[in-house]
Amino acid sequence: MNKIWMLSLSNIRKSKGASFSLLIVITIAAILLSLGLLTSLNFKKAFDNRAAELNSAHVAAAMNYGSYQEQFDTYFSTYTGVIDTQKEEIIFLSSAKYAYGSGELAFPAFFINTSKAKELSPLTLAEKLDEVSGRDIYVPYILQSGGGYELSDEFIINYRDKDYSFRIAGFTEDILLGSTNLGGVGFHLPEESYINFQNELNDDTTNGILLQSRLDNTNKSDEMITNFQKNVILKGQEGIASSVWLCSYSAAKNIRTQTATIGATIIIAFSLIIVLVSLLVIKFRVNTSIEDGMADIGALKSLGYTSHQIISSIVLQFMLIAFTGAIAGILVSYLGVVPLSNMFSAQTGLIWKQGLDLQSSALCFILILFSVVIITPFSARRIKKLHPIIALRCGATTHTFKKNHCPLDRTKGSLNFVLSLKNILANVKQNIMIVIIVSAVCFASVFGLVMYYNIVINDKAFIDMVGVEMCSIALSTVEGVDTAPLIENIKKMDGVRKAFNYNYGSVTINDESVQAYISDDLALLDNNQIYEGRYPKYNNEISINGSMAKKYEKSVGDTILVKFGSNEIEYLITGLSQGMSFMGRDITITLDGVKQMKESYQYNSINIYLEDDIDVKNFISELNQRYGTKITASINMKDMASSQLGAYSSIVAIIASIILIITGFVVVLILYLVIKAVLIRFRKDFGIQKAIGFTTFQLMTQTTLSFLPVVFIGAILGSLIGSIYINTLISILFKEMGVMKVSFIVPTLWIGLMCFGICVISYVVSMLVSWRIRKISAYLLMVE
Amino acid sequence: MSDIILKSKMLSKTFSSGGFQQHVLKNLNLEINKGDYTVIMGSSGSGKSTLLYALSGMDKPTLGEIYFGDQEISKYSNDKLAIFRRKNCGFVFQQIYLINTMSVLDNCLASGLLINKNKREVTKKAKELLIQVGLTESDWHKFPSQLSGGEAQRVGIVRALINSPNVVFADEPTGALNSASSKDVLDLLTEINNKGQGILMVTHDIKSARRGSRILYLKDGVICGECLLGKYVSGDKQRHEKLTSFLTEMGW
Ligand SMILES: Nc1ncnc2c1ncn2[C@@H]1O[C@H](COP(=O)(O)OP(=O)(O)OP(=O)(O)O)[C@@H](O)[C@H]1O
Ligand SMILES: [Mg+2]
Repeated sequence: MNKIWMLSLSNIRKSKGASFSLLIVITIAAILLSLGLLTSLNFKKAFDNRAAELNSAHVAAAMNYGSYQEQFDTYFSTYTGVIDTQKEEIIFLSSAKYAYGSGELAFPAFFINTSKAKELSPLTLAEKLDEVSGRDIYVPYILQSGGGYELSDEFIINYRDKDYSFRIAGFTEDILLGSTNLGGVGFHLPEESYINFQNELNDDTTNGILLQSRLDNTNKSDEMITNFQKNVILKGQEGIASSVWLCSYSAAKNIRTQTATIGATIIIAFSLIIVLVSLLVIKFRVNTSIEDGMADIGALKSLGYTSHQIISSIVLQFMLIAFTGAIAGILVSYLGVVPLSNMFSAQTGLIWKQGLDLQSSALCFILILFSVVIITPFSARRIKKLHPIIALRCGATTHTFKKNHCPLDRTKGSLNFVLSLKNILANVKQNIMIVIIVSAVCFASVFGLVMYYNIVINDKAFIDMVGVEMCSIALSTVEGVDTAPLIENIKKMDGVRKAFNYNYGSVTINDESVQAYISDDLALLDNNQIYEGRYPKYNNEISINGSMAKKYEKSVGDTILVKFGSNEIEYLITGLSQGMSFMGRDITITLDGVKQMKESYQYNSINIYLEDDIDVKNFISELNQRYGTKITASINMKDMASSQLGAYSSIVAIIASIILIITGFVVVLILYLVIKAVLIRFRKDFGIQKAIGFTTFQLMTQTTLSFLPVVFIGAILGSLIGSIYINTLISILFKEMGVMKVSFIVPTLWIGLMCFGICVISYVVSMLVSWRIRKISAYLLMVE
Repeated sequence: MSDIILKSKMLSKTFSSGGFQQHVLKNLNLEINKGDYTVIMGSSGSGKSTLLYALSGMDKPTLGEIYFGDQEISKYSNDKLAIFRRKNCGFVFQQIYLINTMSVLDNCLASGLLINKNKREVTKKAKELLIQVGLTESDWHKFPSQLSGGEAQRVGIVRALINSPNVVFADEPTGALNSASSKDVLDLLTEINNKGQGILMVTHDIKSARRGSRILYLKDGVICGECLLGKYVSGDKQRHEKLTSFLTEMGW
């Protein structure tokens, strides 16, 4: 064993630069892999733990007094599995507006009086002011991490065109009420502030009820909500369904951990590419070190070392590097958790503190070491076949000289050119390796570039992928208003590009609550989500999200049972759609289609699309002036999206930027590694050539000419494969979340520039490395 | 004398490694005539190779001047030396040093094409030389690792001769060869010399040294003795005795 250690260490020492670069690449891979694993294995767990610590409710329903019925309370306290329940009076605003990030949010808002001590979801503050005032408000933590608010900032709520001002006195942690992605947001007010607000509002319709229950098993939360909608609300008054805000623990968990899941997926995918690249580089290094060290291996063999011992020393050499890199990477990744957690919190609104996690660290460690253990002996296996005499005699010449490529006497072209051509052809195996490595590196770069481009530069495709229909204004109408003439009038207003009915509702499929989009003008949608088949046209047709189709094993042409209210009807699936906004649980149906289940169903939402140069805010006030009595809410979607999607985008954008930077760094390192290995290999030949009169410049040109085409081919190949398959790759990554079809723009110019850049970097690196030959005399080069 | 082709003035070479300085050549003055067959002898480690490589512009001296004809090559940059070498010097090494990835013919052409761009001419000359050293067409497309030591060294000689250099530098050209191969190589060098090309050879071997017309003995970094043998004629008994007595005198 001792001897093997000595050999490995001396090998590492001999190739300090290369070993170090490899170490860095492996460290980077380990950092990313560990971060990705830490996130994907722990974020949801951390969510559960925090929820348990907060004694969070698992189901919540908020509504105004008018919608409240006694049996709701009964349901919430007697449903099987409920272990605790809580009912409190709240201020309920059906649509409150407030600034958020760069935009504005408009959601139902609930105001809870903090003076009463509570069992379920008690007030928990992440940060708070010490002194109190009569207009204090505690807002969810996400308003700080994503909305840009700080302690003691003014917080203005606009309700029915009136502003109400508060001072932020603290940030709350609340699982069900503390997210801006769940449709409703809960605020806490100290007694004095609560009463003041009630007086200011002076409106009985804002009095509401908040029901919350805790279950013995959080998995029941979805079912409890579904049954509640189905069996309780809908049996009561018609029209109440849409005015009760409901939230389950499962939905909260899915949505509030979504960015972390997306982020972790991207990070893991990218880290695996880098692990792959490191493995290729290891294979390459093993190959070259065997070929360069052939004489040494022969000498060792003739001294009586067995092949096994020599291979062990090579394996050990790379294991040592991989071990150090993996450990260093895992350690560093724990430092990375803090910024990553801060980043995620902008969308999740959660504080994620991660301690040592043996599971993910061990997994990362084993994955890296295991792949190295596999690849190294595999690459070194030819040592077994090597006879000591052949090794000794051939020295570096293990090429099987079947053919003298491009004989100098017959090949046209300048001497340098032909010699380079010979080099390329004589080292085909090595060059294929380089092509593969450069392609892999390029593929990683394309991945980074495409992500960056489609998220940071032009986010349309990203929004498409998330599956949001971006209209300018989403209008809700008063119950009973006939929307058809309203739409006709709106269309006549200046700057209206189009306007049509677009309702949102909730239906049940296989006892699962599913988001329904209802419209007869699906052809007018800006964002066609159908990736297979078409949108429904007739009342017996439906399109469903691809991930549901997969789950229920349905395809276009099959039928599916949909329940709305008490009626269940079978529909023909005409299309599969994609979109991750409801975790892939959504369907689209026509109005007549819904009417089959519920005769009385009417449109109550309108999507309005304005020309680009129209000021949306002005347009909304004009709408309110003209049709105020018919409208309950008009939401500026661009603003809403920029504040909601903004959080997603900025997180993914940071990840994409980091990936891009890391890629650049890894590319340079790997090119350095590869070029150096090649040059070391040619060193002796260079010495001989120099001795017989080649100038350094000629040798450098030769290196460049014999190296650049290989790099170029690799770069082109990698970019092509990347450009062609990137969308497939991304859709595979996010399939679980309902992304079925991705049409990210592949920025050809950028990728072209990147290829060019990689060639330039290779050129510069090869020049820098070969420049060092200049100072070395021919004599030394040869005898070394 | 205008016949001097190579001249060193106060040539010194010092190696420093690990803090130690080793003065291998010390203020060495030497003149070599055009067309001469000069042999440098000396004990192992006395600096023979160092001197040869310094004189041929393969390595730079620490101090002193080296003239090739009337040009001071010790002032040249590495690249200028390379261009100088391809025109004026041919090299034959003990370890032969052929480029392993190229065929026999290509090894010769790579050198030849550096000066003469005319492929056909160079190829013709290379083939003539190869035939002359006894390598037939079947050998031309072999790779160096497929040749015997003697064959490889003959390729080395062809490579050294292809540009008709003024001086052929040879560092123990027979060191790696058996006696039959050695003889072939030595005969070849003699033949070249007879055609007017100068030879500067470093050797350990009396049989090889006997071929030279002027023997220099290197000791402690300086030339401490010289023995003139005149033109080589095979079977010259006296020549052998003269050389051995010179070497004994030098403490060989
Ligand atoms: N690059 C170098 N660095 C340090 N010392 C060197 C170097 N090259 C040669 N030497 C030293 O210079 C001395 C002379 O070396 P050189 O190769 O000229 O000897 P030589 O006379 O050719 O010996 P031999 O007959 O064994 O070939 C030796 O002691 C050697 O150790
Ligand atoms: Mg020597």
